[in-house]
Amino acid sequence: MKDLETQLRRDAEALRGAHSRVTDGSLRSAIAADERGSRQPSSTRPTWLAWALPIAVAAAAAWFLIATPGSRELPTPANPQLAAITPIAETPLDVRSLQRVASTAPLEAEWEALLSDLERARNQIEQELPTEF
Amino acid sequence: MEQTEKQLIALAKGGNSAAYCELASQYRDQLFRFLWLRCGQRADAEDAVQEALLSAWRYINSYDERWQFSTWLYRIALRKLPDKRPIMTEVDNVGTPDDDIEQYLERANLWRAARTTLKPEALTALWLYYGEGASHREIAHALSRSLAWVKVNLMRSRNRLATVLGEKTG
Repeated sequence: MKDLETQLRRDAEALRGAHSRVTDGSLRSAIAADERGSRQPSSTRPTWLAWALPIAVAAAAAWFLIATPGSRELPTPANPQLAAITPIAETPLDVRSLQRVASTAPLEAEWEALLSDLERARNQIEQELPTEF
Repeated sequence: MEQTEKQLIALAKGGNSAAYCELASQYRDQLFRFLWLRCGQRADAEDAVQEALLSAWRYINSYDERWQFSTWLYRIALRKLPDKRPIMTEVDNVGTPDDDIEQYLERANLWRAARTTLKPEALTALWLYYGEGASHREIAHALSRSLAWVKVNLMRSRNRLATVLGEKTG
């Protein structure tokens, strides 16, 4: 098995000769284009609109759904037996879509933080496992 | 004066794109090899490298310095990789021979065997361990797997390769 490990490391050297064709220039251009793209909106309208607008839209949507006559009348299944077992939401508001509209922060960062917390907890448990190879 | 990785990361987190580019250039080839071995096609790997490095720049402030910078890049890069080309299928004749990793691996028979024998995630773990010298812990973080999963899969991969090589030579 030691021979196999030695050979794996030695053979990996063959691949180490491979280089990416992505150049510094192309990465710089991509970053510059990305920055231009993200700055463009702030140059045409006030920055506070970036967060105020989605909140205003979400609030307006919520107000519209609440204020519209009949919107709080929940659908009732025709069959009374079915009505007894069919769970009906207490509100007709589509909370998820409202959250999506209201959310402007990149979710990737939050996702990373959540994963990191989970892994930390998992690794703490695993450190107590007598797993050695 | 040459700046350390820590300094470059601090500068990049402060919005210095030149510092980030310098940092990225140190990991570009390493990231490329990792992706090329995994997906098999140069063009796909190059695209994933570019996208991963750009994405890392966008979210540089979410980088947790308890982990290696390369580990964080691997995590991002794996999400950018197209799953359209399973590694165990025959490679088509698109592109130049240099675009196909099988041609490149003619001098690396063991990795060639690994590509055709192991599942993509096991191959990735094996490469990170033997090809890049990453620790079990870093591999676990890069692949979003447990430490036990990494250890068990490395052992299984070695056994599988030993069996395959034994069959070929025996």
